[in-house]
Amino acid sequence: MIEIHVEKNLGNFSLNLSLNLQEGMSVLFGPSGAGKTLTLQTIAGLVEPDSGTVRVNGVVYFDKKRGVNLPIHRRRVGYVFQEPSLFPHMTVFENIAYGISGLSSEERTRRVNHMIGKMRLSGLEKNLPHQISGGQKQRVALARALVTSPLLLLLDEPFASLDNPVREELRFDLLRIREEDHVPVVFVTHDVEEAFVLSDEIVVLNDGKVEQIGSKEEIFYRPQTQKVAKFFGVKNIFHGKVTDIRPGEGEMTVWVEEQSFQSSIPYREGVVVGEWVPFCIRPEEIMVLKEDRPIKKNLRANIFTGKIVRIIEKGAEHTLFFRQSQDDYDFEISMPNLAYRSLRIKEGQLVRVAFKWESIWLIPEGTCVV
Amino acid sequence: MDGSVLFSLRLSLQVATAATVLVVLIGTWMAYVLARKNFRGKEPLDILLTLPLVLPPTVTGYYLILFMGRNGMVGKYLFYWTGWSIMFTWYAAVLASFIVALPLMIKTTRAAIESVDKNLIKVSYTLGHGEFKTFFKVILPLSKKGMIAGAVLSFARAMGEFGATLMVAGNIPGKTATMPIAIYTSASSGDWAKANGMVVFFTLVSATFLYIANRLSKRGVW
Repeated sequence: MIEIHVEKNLGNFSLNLSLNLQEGMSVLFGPSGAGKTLTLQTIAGLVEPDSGTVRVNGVVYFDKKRGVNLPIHRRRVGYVFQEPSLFPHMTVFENIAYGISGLSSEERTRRVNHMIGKMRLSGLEKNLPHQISGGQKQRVALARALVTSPLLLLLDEPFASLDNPVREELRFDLLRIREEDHVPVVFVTHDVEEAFVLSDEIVVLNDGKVEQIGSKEEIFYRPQTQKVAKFFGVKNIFHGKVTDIRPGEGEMTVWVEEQSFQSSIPYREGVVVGEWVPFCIRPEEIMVLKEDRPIKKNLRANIFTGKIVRIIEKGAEHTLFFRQSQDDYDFEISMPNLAYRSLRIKEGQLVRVAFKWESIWLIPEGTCVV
Repeated sequence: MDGSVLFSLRLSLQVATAATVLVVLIGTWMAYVLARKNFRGKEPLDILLTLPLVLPPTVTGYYLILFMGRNGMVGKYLFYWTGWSIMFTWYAAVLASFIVALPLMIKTTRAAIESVDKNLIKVSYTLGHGEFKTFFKVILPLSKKGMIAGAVLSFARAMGEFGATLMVAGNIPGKTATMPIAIYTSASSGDWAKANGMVVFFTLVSATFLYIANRLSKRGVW
């Protein structure tokens, strides 16, 4: 377990964290300048916090009050940067062997060769860093960190500067290594897809603070704040005024002033009539209804008629902008290409859209009485 | 070449070699400290160490007399305890050359160390190597060209040292008369043939050193 409780002031930015990370792959996610890298550097000892404690598996790395600050080279953390940062004057083999100490040369060679095989680097042992590709370099950097059997692996956007196919390969390499070695990993990224592919647990950071910690499902479907909802692609966030509550049915009705529509949403305990509540619906949870099909019961409460004002093709999916009020658009809808083609929608077309009552999520933060 | 010329040549080489060894050892360490550490008084220290580069060598020599002379701040204790003074010995020539050549070494080496990718140093630390090992395994190999260039320049500068050396070591034929001093003596006494020979020789040696230093400071040549 990694316990970080630190404060660090850097003039116009301050990091204020209180985090307990589980063993496994923890992804630190957030926009640029959220403090992700600074958090990693704090764990590694590359940056000294102003106050607080850092502990890994019970070992105190840093404790301001007790005057403990374990030097970087004694922390046994593997660190991989966005740039591979291989030693340019050493071969692939020498780079990987660099961190191994206190072993006989046979044992050392055996370990390095084992790691070379594992990281698909066979045949490149004698190459210098400038003679191999970007993806290979980053695999060497990973191998170099892993071969020392670190207590913890810290990865700072390690795949961000690689091409898409190479990036995917490396993600799978990392997952494979995780399964074999069980080394805890803290992975920094600002890529939603990456966060989802890799994480056992996601920590959303914003402006030096933890916005939410949770599993992928929790972060994706149950964001605790509007910022988290936005970071993870929830495009449809509304503020509704509660007009009617039906606790018995677990429902309440809200009036969304801005987009002028009424909606039936899940009831939350403690909410009173007249209160404003933020709620959201993921764009892929809104469906466009076909005229000839009967409407399912769980859709009936939230059906809207309006125009598709814009369609954007996004690779494997299409994004549709739906308008039923005077606003630019009210809902953003995304659907796989297959579904899009079967609907044969054009811009300007009048359609009916609906969303399931279960897909609506009430964001706990920001609820207020107006 | 007559005996006195050969003596001067040998003495100059001896002084320059000894001074360069000291310059490389101490200069590299100082360059590392200036490049990698932050401490109070870093700027004044940097200025102090660079001063001999711009001061007239006679001024540097004068300071050396103040410090190391028989009545100097350090020299008097040395004389008191050992009965020996560095003044007017070949060691004084080494000291003068060392002080004058040191800034050349520090400047080039510091620049070379500062140009080493900081992430490589951080990676080395996270891989379990402390500052000492990191210096020898990463920083030194990656900045060695700059260091060698600095050493070559320092050697050339030490070979050519005149003003400060004259102040602290004097002009004692067969004892402290290095080649530049011997050239001065020959010229001032009208022995042009002897002076010409030494001047040509010196010019060739210096040009060779500059050529080597130039080649070394270009990346990927060696």
